[in-house]
Amino acid sequence: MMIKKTIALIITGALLISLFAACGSNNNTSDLTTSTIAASSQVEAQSTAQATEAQDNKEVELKYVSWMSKGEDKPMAESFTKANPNIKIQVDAFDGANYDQLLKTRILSGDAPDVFLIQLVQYAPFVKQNYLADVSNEQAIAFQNNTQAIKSFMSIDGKEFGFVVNGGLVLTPVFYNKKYFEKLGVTTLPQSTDDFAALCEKIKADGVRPLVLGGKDKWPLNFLGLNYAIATNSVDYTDINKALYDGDIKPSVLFKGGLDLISTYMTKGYIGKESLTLTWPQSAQYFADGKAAMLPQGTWTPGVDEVKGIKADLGSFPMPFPVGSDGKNHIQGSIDRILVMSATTKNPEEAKKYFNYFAAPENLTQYLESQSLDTVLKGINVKQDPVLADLNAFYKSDACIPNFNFLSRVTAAFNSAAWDAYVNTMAGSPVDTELAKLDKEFDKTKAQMVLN
Amino acid sequence: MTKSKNVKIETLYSILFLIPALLLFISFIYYPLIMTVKYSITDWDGFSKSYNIVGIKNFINIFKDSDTYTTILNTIYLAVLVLVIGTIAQLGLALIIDQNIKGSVVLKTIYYIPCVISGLIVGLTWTSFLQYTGIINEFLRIIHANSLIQDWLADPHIVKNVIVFVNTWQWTGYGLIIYLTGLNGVPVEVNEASLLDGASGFKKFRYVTLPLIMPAVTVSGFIGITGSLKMFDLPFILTGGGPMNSSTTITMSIYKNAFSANMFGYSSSIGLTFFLFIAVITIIQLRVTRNLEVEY
Repeated sequence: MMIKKTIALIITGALLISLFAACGSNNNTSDLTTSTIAASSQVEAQSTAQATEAQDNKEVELKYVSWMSKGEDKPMAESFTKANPNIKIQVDAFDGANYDQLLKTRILSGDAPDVFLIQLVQYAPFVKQNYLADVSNEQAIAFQNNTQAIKSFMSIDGKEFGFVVNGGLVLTPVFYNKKYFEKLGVTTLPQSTDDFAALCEKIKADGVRPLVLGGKDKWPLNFLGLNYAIATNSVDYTDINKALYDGDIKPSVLFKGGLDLISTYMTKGYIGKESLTLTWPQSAQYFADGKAAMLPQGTWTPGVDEVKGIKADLGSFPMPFPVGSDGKNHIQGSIDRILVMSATTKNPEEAKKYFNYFAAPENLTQYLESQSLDTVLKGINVKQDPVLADLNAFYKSDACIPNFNFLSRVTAAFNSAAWDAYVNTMAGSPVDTELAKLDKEFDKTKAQMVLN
Repeated sequence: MTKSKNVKIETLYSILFLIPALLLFISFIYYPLIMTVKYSITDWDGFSKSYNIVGIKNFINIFKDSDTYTTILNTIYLAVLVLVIGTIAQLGLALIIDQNIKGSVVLKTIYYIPCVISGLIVGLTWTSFLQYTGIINEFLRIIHANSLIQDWLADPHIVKNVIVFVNTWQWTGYGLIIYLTGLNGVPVEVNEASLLDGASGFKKFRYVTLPLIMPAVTVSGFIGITGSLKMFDLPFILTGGGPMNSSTTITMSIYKNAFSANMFGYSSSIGLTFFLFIAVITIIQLRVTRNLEVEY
């Protein structure tokens, strides 16, 4: 009996020790927040000390995180490791719709990735919370600063904390199947909202759904909702974020047009119920299968697997939105992905290496071309997919004006609320109800906005 | 060794064996609970190093927030339906399988398998079934039953019932095993005696079987109530809480307020209030069902 108890006691003791060992490796929130305060200067101080170590080719594994769920970032990581065999990159992808929450959870638990992508709405708040390393002196930033518009946008208190991977005009192409349009007898592409409605009616009469969107993912509805808001509100406010914050304009005024558009398209059957529960890849497949005639989606669409079968017949045209009061087409100039380094990375030299490698013109160009992305950075010439050739020419013409600042400083929570408003409107919620909710949601988190 | 020394050693061993579980319990249950109470009276956003004490302002705001009312109603609706329909399904199947029908072992296994699948996989699988272009609607189209086609995940009038269905499908096996255990504990002679006395069918179930399996009802009811009130993964995966918040549960609201709106203090106050609500409900349930238990 005593022997059995002693054995049991030893096992219990071993379990206890392993429990303490596991707990000891976790950083709690207060430790983390204290450490992030001095983290930026810590990175600098460590870099000299670690330079020699790096030269000794120590084996290092960097953690990289983004929301690229189809493995878009892996080729970059693999080519870096090929060039730097002692540095491995562990690439993880988080769900895009909950990226902010998932990333913050990781950072707060003390397991921040060394290098990661963030979205525009995260940039200022993350800088404010000292999550990001100061990369002002990096090669990548020196290159980025050749483009003045980006330099002034990305600078916070005279420092830069991120590299704009892709950005420029958020082209709002509507993809279509040229063969189907030929069969339908469509010879000219729509130039106005009335033309577009007429085209949708023609397609609907043919028994095909005019439009399909990835409503389950929510963000694809930005192509209608947000871009309509930009098209119709850009002229009146030079700083829309400040105007919202100061109460000069309400979100409901900005979004009314876009929600009315979505509501109208649903009522008229241009968009169907299927769009509510399709993810964006499924919507691309739905379009490729010929069940819908048009797919408003990003410029990466020609490169996705789902449309490979009809690539040869793929065409695109700009979504016709109303022009602004100045007679110009105001287009969302967005910064989609920002490459950053963690302020608490344990491998700052290696992280900087990857950061600069990613941003090197030749590597960045390859990355952008592989995903049909674009950038406004000077010195990068991205070969666009031929499907987008006419689109690019239109958007870069004098008839189009990019707006980089539109809602760039709203909180992630409000962004999410806007997406919910689109989906709810599609599901039948009255536009006025959703607009009232938007105003309420904006007031709820307004105090968290970080203005320039 | 003297008797008292033996008792002391026994006590020491007992304490030592309890310590690991106690430490885990304190670390992962009590400590977070205490911190939740602390943050519930602050305006902490979840990542800043400073916050202000706001007293009971967060708790007052719960009752002013119409969205929170909606989530409470959604949660209660889901919990009641899951409990009622789930109990009927679990007990009904248990009574059938308890008749020693052929293949009862295989049936028990089949019913239990969904319980061991993660909520994420269940949610994703059922999403592919229930999407408007999913397998169910496609099947209905093939058999020309177009009038039955529904927007299962995007119609606010039916989406909660869909969640109830999927949840019941997943957890029927769990309650089935509990009830079967209870039924197996009913003495054979009691059953025989009741049959001799002329009790059969519903009367036998109501006056003989049910009172004797009340302990199983207590356990299954307790697990069912707490589980259904805390439902998160299924509605999160299936609908994201939509459309129009029609399937947003309280736990989803806690999650959204904490991690999306960065209102950790407010979210903690909702969590604490919800914890007290569940505690009250389960205390009432335990009292009621325990009073109905009989001993043989």
